Amino acid sequence: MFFLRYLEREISLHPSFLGNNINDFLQRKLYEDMEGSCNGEYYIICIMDIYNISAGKVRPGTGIAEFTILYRAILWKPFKGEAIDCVVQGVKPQGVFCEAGPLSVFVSKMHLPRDYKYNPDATPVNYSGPEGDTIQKGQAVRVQILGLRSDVNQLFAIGKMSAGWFGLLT
Amino acid sequence: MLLRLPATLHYPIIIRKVEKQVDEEIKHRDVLFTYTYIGKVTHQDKYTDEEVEVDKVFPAHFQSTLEGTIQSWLVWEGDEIREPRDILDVNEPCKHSVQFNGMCVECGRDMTEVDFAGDEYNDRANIQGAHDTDKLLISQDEASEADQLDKRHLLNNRKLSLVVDLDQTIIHAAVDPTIGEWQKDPDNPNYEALKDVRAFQLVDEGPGVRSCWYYIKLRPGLEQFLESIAEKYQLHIYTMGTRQYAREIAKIVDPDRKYFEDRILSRDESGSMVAKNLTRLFPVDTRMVVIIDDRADVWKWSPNLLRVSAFDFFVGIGDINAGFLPKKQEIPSTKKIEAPKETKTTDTNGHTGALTAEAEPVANGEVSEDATPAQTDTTALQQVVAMTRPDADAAIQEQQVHTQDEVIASQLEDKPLLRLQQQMDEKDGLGSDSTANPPPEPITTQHTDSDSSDSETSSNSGKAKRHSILRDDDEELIHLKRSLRAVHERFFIEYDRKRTSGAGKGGRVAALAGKQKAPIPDAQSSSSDLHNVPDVKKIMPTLKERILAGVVIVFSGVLPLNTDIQTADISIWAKSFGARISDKVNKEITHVIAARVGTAKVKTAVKRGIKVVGLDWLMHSIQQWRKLNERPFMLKGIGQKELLNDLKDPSSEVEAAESDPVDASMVAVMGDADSKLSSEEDTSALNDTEESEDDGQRKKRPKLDLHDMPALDPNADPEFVSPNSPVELSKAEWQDMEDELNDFLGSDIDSESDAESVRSDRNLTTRTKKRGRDDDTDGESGTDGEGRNGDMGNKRQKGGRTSALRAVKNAESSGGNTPQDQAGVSKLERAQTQEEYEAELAIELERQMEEAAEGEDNS
Repeated sequence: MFFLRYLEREISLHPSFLGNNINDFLQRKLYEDMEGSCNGEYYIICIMDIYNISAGKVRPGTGIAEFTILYRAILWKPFKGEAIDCVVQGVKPQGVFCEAGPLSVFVSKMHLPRDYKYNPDATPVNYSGPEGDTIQKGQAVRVQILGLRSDVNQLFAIGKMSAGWFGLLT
Repeated sequence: MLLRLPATLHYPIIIRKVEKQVDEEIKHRDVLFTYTYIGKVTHQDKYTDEEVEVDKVFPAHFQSTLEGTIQSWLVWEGDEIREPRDILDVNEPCKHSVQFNGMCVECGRDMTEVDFAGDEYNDRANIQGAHDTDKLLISQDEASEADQLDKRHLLNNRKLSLVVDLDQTIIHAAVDPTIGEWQKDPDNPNYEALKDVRAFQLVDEGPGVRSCWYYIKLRPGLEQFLESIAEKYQLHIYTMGTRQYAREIAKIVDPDRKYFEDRILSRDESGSMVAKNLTRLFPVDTRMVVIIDDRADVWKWSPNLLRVSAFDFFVGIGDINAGFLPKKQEIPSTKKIEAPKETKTTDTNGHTGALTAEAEPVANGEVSEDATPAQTDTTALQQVVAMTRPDADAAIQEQQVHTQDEVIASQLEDKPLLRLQQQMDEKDGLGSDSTANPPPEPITTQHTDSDSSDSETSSNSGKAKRHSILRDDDEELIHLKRSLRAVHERFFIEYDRKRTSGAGKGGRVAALAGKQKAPIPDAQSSSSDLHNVPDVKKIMPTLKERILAGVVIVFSGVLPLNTDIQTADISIWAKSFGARISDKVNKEITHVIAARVGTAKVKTAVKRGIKVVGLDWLMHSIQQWRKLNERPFMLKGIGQKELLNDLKDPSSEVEAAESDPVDASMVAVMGDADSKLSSEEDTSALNDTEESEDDGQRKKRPKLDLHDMPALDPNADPEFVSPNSPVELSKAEWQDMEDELNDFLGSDIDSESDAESVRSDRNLTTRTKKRGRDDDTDGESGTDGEGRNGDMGNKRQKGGRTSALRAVKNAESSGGNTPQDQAGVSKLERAQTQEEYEAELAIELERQMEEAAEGEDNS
């Protein structure tokens, strides 16, 4: 799900950056650091605006200045049970790897739509359904998230396509 | 799933009450049963106030570590349990047999939580399940199921699996920007060879470089190779390169993705930076897998491996992805890169030294020094463990990635190819007197030349032509294709044979088993079917071992000093083809593989009629999977003699050697006495030297005739020289003596000089020999020996073997002087006065040189 949220970020600047265009530096650093990052709970998709940059505080002894920036960003946090659309990235005997933006979702063969069968002979390898439709690399699918797990700066999910309305998008 | 009691309970325990009945649903941590155990407590005796230990019965309960419905109890109330055992059969709703990054893919549960009993769901699935990710883990059952499916699928299509290495096996990659420049320049001598070199860019590689270009040369004939091999094999890529790199290569090698598809395993998923492990791809069974790779050590010489010779197109670059691997044992290269090698060895200026020191170690040397300690002290087991837990040595990897980056960066800066070409040009200029040639002319001639015969060896082409350092003449894949087809054919012949012969028997067994256990017929027949699958690990070695069976090899000057000849790379390789390696030239030896003429072993071999061939013979035989005719590979310098030997009946050779055993026996007996006896001897020899100094042409031939020796080789040892032996010894005795002698003296050469010193009645022979060698060495002794004063007694010579003379030998040992030169030099020397002891020194020097040469050979 997407959220718009106010966030806070502390940024340290080396004294050599303390000059006329200090705001530019701070802004650029914020964008570089935060956009596309993941804190284990959500992805920061896009920074909307910055609405306050605090006065800098010089850290004693080093000369480095610290600024606190308040900004607003669009977040994406996947939830258990949420339905997302993704692209099939790889087809394995155990299931299908999908990608929804930065999130990689694995769908076990148990949770593929009913009666889908693995075809190792086909090029590219696919799962084919009873009506001749195939799940293969590059196809768009709708997946329900079954479980989520966070790594240092990435999220992983497992999903299923077996319920109604999930599976291949046409 | 059986529930097993953990080892942490206070055994023995007695089950008091079972709380959950069969068919009851149990959840994690539900109490399954109560039990009692006996513990000890210290207790104060109420009368004596003494502390005594008393047994006490404690009640406790056991909580379930599993979820599901109870299938059956294996223990019951009142049972005493003394050790961990299975107590309960639980029907689990989810076996968690496939896990993705710590989650069960079926139920979505977190698999990383650790139970109070120490059970980890993690353990359920610990086998890497997919090529291109290390996040997907599967259980043993799941793996064997997948393996069976896979095998059946392959057998139906009559295919095997082939694991293909990329770097230096089917492609050669380099990042040297020179290549790009050469590609754009049609006048460059290497232009022709570089025509089909492909390039791609990888972002974020190397420090400070945002992106760099990779130049990829496909091994000649790769396309046809893949096409025809893909009919017989299912292809997998297993590379030490990064994932991105592997993908790019696959795109070049297999643009339609029809050969490899997604079966690409890179170092990102491999789990190990220093070794490749077949179980990563085939966790259950490797019976149907063949590997092709240019490095055998990373596979631990797996029997599945079909080793190919390294594809070394961009000379001096090596394997850009081998930074983590232990240094490759350099095998003296074969013909195709002869030219650049020559530049390295013959150029005496410091320039080349710097280059060789940089180009190769940069490719793999200095990095590996960091990498090896980490690698060597981990056992194979640890490695396997580490492979399933990829983040275990993340720190080391991190460091290695840095060093790898440095390798690439240094290649980008150093441009080793450019420098090689420059040297080649320099050499061309020197060699053909065309330094003054104006530039336009060579270009025109070179155009025609390079159009017609670029890969041709440049001996006949015009002197103005600039030699290219890159050659496009690799033909490994043609042979490789043949070998792979042979393996495939053999495998399926075996398979069909087993299947048809085993059908009746297997059917009976299946029928019997069917009566007893009444299993599903399908499973039964299929398992017996898979039982018939032959093992590549057996088939390929048997195929290979035939090729050089019966060949016994001695290496001479091929392996660097201090290498263990049995475990050297090339030795293991040759051994896998059935050859045997020996360190001494003895009766068994069939081939001497020599890098150069003139080593003691070569001499002995020539004398005994053993074939002396270059390393090429071995390499080509291995490459082509057949024992090649030795003739084209005979070592150049002794070719004539070799032919002579070949033409002669070998038995006569043996006879000649055997007919004069007494001399050798005498030598053996007297060998230790030589130091006492030799003084008279040496002087006489020296006198002779003086006499014959002018006569450069006089050889020992006449002397030999004098002794009436039939067809004796001029280089023969004196042991073999005397014909008029009064005593006859048997062959075995003779052999014993020779062995003893060799052991005692360490080398044949030593015995030669010793023999001379001992025997006074054969002055003539020895003298001439001496003369020849004196001439050899006088030049050296002149420079060195003059500085030494005083009378040099023979004993002192013996004692002074490790004198300063040794220092000279390195400089001189490479010089293969012609007799004319020597004569000239020696004349000069004679003009000076102290001839006698100079000559003595010369003898001594000679001895040391030969010792050194011998030591080199032995190692």
